Amino acid sequence: MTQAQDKQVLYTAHDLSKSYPMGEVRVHALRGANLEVYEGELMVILGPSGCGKSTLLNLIGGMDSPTSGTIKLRETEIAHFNERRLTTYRRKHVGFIFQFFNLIPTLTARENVEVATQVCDDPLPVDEMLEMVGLLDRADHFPAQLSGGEQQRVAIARAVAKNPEVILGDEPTGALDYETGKLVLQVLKRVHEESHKTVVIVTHNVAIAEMGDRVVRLRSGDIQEIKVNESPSDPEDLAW
Amino acid sequence: MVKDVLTRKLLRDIREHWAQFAAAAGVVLLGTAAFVSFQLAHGSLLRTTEDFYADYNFADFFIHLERAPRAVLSELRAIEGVWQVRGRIVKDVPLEVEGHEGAVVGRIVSMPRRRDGMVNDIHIATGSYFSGAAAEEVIVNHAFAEAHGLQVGDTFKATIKEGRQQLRIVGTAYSPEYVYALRGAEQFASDDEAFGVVFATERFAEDAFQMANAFNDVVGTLRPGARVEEVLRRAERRLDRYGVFRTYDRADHASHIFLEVRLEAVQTASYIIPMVFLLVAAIVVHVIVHRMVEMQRTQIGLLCALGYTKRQVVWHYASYALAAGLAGAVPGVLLASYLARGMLGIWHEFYQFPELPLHLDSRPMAMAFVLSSGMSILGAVRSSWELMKLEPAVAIRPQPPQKSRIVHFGAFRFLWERLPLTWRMSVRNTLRARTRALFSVFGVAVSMVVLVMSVQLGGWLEWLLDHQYRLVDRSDCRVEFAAETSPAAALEIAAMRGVRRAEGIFEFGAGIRHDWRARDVGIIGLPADGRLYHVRDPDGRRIAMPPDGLIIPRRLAEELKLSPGDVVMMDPYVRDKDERPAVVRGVVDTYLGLSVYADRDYLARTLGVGPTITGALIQTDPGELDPLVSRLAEMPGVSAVTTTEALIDNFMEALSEFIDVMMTSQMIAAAVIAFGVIYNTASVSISEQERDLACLCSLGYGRGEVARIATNDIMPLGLTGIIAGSPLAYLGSIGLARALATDAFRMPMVVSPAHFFTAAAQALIFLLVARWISRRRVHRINIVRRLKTME
Repeated sequence: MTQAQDKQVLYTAHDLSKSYPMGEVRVHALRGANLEVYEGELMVILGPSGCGKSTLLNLIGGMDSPTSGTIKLRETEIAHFNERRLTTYRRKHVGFIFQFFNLIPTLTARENVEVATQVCDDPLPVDEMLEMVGLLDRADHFPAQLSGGEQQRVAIARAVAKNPEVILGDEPTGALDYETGKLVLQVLKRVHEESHKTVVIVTHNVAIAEMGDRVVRLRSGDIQEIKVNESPSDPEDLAW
Repeated sequence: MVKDVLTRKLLRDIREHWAQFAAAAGVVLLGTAAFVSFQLAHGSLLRTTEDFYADYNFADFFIHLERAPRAVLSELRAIEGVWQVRGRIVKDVPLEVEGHEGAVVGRIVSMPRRRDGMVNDIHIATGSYFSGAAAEEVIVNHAFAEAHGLQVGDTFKATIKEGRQQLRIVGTAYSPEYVYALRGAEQFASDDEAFGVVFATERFAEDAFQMANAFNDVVGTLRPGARVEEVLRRAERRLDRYGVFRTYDRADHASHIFLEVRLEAVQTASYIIPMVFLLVAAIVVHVIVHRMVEMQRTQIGLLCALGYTKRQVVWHYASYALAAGLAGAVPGVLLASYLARGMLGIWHEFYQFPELPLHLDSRPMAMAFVLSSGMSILGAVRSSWELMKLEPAVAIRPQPPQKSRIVHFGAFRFLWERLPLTWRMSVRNTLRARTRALFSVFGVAVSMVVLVMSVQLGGWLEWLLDHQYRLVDRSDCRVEFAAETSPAAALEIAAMRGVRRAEGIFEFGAGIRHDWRARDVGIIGLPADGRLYHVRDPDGRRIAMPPDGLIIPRRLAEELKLSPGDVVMMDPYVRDKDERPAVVRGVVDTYLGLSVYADRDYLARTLGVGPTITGALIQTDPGELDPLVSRLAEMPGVSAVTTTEALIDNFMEALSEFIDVMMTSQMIAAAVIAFGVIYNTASVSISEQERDLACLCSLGYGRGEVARIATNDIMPLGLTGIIAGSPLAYLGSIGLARALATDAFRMPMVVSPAHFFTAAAQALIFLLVARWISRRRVHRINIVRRLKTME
């Protein structure tokens, strides 16, 4: 863990648990997870469906509050923020990428990015972001006029444009075909390299884990293993 | 447990969207309740009227004359078509009731000794018919007795031929002739304190008025198929030498007219008001079912794939609509009988029937079920049609992303580019769901129409009384003389203590004929230099009285197709005066009564008599009114004294309750319509945008902000509705003024901007409440789940 020691810790999760009612039973999505996320790293959280990886991501992203345990962003405890503070936190510090893109269908590609930049303090130029994901020429298209891969690239541009501390991707290739999925991962990797942002990707796809600086394996709400990847692969070389 | 799976699904769908289901059912409930209650109340009033008329042998025709010998009655009976005839003595006299300060007019109506099968019989409410023991036995109409707290055995005095006569009450009664007790057609509201019907024995009336073996009033019934005009024409010919004042049939009978007007108004209301509700219900159901079908597309595809027929699936969604219809109709019908009973209770205060019970009738109830189910299913038609066209293979696939077009606003581009993104979202959403947006606009517009009417109705009474009694008639009281007299009588009154000014007026009833069109009206002759009564236009401008000719009300001008310069034939109901020509000099909008105005001396000249007055308008010194009224009532030759204050109170009493009820129900209706439509369209729109809204939350927009964005469109659409509703409201208020116009009173066609502003303010409040409640929905969206799933 030499690499870990000379890196600044961005997030510290301690004994993090989350359970929620589902019908008449209580589902324990996360059971006492401990994790540190370093500044500037690309972390992949890997695990089968239902293992609690999205829950972990949502807790880091301030979309949800844990049942118990703490999460710190540097020295600030965010786990028990109220609604208003969580909103501010998401606004300033987090960029999300979802499996189903979640672009707003009534806004064009450019507007979808703008709608994110308008609420943060220090956004990046919208057109530069679109150029970075290779879609400047399609900026005035609506989501319905874009392919899935293009929609996801707009979503990446939107996440980065907020100039957040961390970009969280929840199965970003889950709704895409193989080729498109790889293309999106390449864009994500490039964004990570160029912007030096911390990126956390959640996936069930073992192959994708190869591109991460560190890989966190989750099973049934428990962190099984945290593996440092000495030579992360280029997404182009990934195959599944 | 319901066996059929689709029925189970239906019940669960209802539970899932219970608020929207309840909103749709609620509108249906109001619609059916309004429909059935109006229908039941109408049916009950009609049936009670018909039964009462039949049971007490209400006359088909009426003749007023000077005096004729009883022997003539057999001639009348011989006229073809006549079934029964009764000659009566009918005279108005001043009454003195102990404990009552104001003037009271009593109408003495002679009754035969034996009452079997007589025309215009009476229903004895308390006491009994005349025993024949004493001449001064009388029966009074029940409402009069109640108004004065009089009971069987009590006495009161009548001034007859300048002598006072004590009368003793042996009974109280209801009469088909005085269901709405009016002195005459020129009166516009009944006043049971100031006017009473006094049924007396023939012997008493003959003695009191020195009319032995004579009569001055005829009531009669017709054989089936008889033509009343023909009978009246013949009767008039036979009675000509006895001074016929007026002949008319039941349709022109004052009390009957008031009942007819109410029956007609209720009948009209029973169709229009519920239709508006049910139409809105159809819209609400449409919006809900349409959204449900859209959201359940994959389920529909699955059902088809499993082998359910299209018809079964369509029926499944139609039955949701039907369920909403029935869920509203059942309590609506139950509520209706309660409301109808309430309406009848209010009417029973005006209309003097022995009883006014609720007659339950299954027909309107059945019709309500048919109407409400029909309208609800109508709401599901479009969605069902789309379902029929949908191929299962297409349906089972998730819906493709919604399409949006780049909006080309041409000249508005500059503005568009400066519009915040969240507003662009709202504009595009609205443009995409145009039908729904139109429904919102329509709902608010309808609500606006109803609101303007309610505001108009509320201000109307005040306006009317202000116009009539501050601008037109400025007297504090008026007297009527028992007979035509010389203007000196007015001078005599003017000289009395407490009188500031007194002006003699010449009033009589007359038939006005233009070609074949004819109408009975009251004619008011005003003194040339009068200051107490000014005819005015709706803006309050004074209309000068022409030295010759008539000023007629617009309603009469329209009915008889008259315009200034036309010559009419005037048939004064004054003894020995035949029809004579008169020229129309002007047409004026009047709001109370159907009076024709002319110069007093012109009328005297036209009738060929010397200066004549029949009454006087009086202005009093402050604080002098009450003692003066008592002194006037005792003055020889005075038959009636009426104070303006009593007229106003009476008018308010007769109408204010009705108006309050109308206004309140209109307010509720407007609120339900505006709220029902706006809340439901907003709910559906929010449910469609849930994912977008969740996405905004993930980007760091606060819930409050997101809720505002989600409901951005409510105010612009609502304001469009208010604006679009305004011209409709204007037409509606003209319609309302027309619908409420009777001979007794009319509503001015004056809809001021203030009416619109008040109504718009009320509509805005409904919109704000609907928006507030809609916003709360946004707080319930589960962001994580919405973002994680496919649409």
